[in-house]
Amino acid sequence: MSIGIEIQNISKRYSTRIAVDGLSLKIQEGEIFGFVGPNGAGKTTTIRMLCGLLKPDQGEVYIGGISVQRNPREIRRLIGYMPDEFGVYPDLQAWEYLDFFAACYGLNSFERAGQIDNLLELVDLQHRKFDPVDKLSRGMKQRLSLARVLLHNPQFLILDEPASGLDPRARIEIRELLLELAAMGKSVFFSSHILADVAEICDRVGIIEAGKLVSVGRLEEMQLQLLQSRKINLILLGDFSLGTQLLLEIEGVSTIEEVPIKENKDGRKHIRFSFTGDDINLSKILSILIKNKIPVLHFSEEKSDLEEIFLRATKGQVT
Amino acid sequence: MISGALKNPILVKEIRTRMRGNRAFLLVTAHLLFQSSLVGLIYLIFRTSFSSFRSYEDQYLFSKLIFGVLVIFDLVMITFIAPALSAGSFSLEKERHTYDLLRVTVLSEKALVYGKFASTLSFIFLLLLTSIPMLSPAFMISGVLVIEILISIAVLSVGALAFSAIGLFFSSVINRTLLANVLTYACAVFMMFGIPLLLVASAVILQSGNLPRIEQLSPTAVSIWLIIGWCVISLSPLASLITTEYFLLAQNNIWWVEVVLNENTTIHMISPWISHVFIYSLLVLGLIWITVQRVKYGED
Repeated sequence: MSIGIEIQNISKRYSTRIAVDGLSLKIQEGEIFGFVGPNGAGKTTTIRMLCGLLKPDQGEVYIGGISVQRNPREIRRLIGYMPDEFGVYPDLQAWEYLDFFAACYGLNSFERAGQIDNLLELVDLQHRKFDPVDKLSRGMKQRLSLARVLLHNPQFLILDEPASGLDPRARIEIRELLLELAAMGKSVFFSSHILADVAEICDRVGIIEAGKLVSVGRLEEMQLQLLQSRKINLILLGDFSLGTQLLLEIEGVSTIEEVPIKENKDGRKHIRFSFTGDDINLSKILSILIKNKIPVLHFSEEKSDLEEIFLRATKGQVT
Repeated sequence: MISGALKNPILVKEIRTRMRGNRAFLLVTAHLLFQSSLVGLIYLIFRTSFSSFRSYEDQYLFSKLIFGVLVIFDLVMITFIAPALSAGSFSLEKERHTYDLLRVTVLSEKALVYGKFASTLSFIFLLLLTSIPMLSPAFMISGVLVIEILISIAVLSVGALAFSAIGLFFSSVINRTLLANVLTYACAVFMMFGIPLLLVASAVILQSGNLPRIEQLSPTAVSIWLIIGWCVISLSPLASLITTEYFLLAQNNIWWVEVVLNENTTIHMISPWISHVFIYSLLVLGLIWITVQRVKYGED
């Protein structure tokens, strides 16, 4: 896959406050990239620089190989931008809202009619076509906004907090729409502070704090990078004291604890321990237990969620 | 090119939403009702006060009065309507969070500003156009020349353009519509009424004060003062129209004005309406250019 969005060492300062500080990032074409950070971390400023709405004080942004600073109008054809606030024209109906923006993107009246119907279908708003925009629920407005973003069929979708303020159902709908768009081959760059959304659908995640990118990569990679030890769950049958003794002798194993089991059948024992080591050494633990005839029912690594990674990566700083 | 300009999406949307409902219809109706009532009232006063209304002098006076009152009414109308329509052009978009959405479309900054400007003007010119037939009694009675009507339309038009451009400018530099409105109204009211009041006040002070008489000044000093005074007059549509009408009646020339300084010196100046149209056209071009730059570079 080729690089879709390339951010090269961009910085932005508002009088004395540095909003974005030397941020560099590469996003592949067709990728869903989650941009995570606390409020005031610089997510919106970065997104506005990506869209050419703000000029970086230094550095450069390339989208589809084209410089945003040098060719802002060319970039506008490639990107679809959705801000964190839904922009409303209260006196327009849903179709008029889309028709207006489609005209702003240079679509002629024949193209507009077909495209609007298709997009209303995609975001499941066909039945609200003639409703005034301000009468739609927040979730519907977000979906309409997503339809607006897609009017000119852009390759890159840049979405600022698309699920913020939505109820769980609307959030799931937006998430599904984003997955559908990614399946259509679009690159999606979206910011969020709802970590569950990011963890659920993103190929890669970038964590920004105080204007700096503190971590970037796949969740698993970040987990290895940021968490000092791995948590392993083990379920044994019968007497577990031998198993515990063996584990304590293995290098890298620490903090062994028994986890109470609800409705314990057949004398199962659930043990959780910390392990610092790679996959090969982890597999050796299982071999040792089996060689010593310890009845192992379950052996798995506990997946750390994005929240834990986020807390590890950030220090709670706000610029 | 013209069809492209008329298809500007901003213009189409603004006209579509402005003309929706009965607000625009009511405004045009109220505007015309008020103007026709004024004409009717003046007619009634003349019929009851002048027994010899059929005389040429009375009819001439009647037509001049109708013409003057209607033009001043239209001047007042553009002073209050143009800021109301233009001062929220961009600030309202910012408040509604739609400004960035427009800026990321492929619409150029010029097209964006043009759309806003044209949509403001379209409604003002609708009001002006509908009020032109009201001038017909004045024209038919023969008290007013076609050229006077044309000059008044020119002054009204540049006034509408200038006040709309001022509104657009403030709307692009200020994020809050209320403040943009206040500043636009302040400018429009000052230019329309403030300047003539200042001129009258200055004339009173100059006549009553212990200042050197005009004959005592050198011709160069007099010329400089005259040019400054002329420029100040040209900054106000009301002052320009009144001065133009005064010299038109006195000297019967729409292009030039003769100002006699003393027995030996006469200065020829261009008629105030011409300098007014020129200055306001420059003002409009300058403000529109700044507005386009503001939209282009945004917060940078």
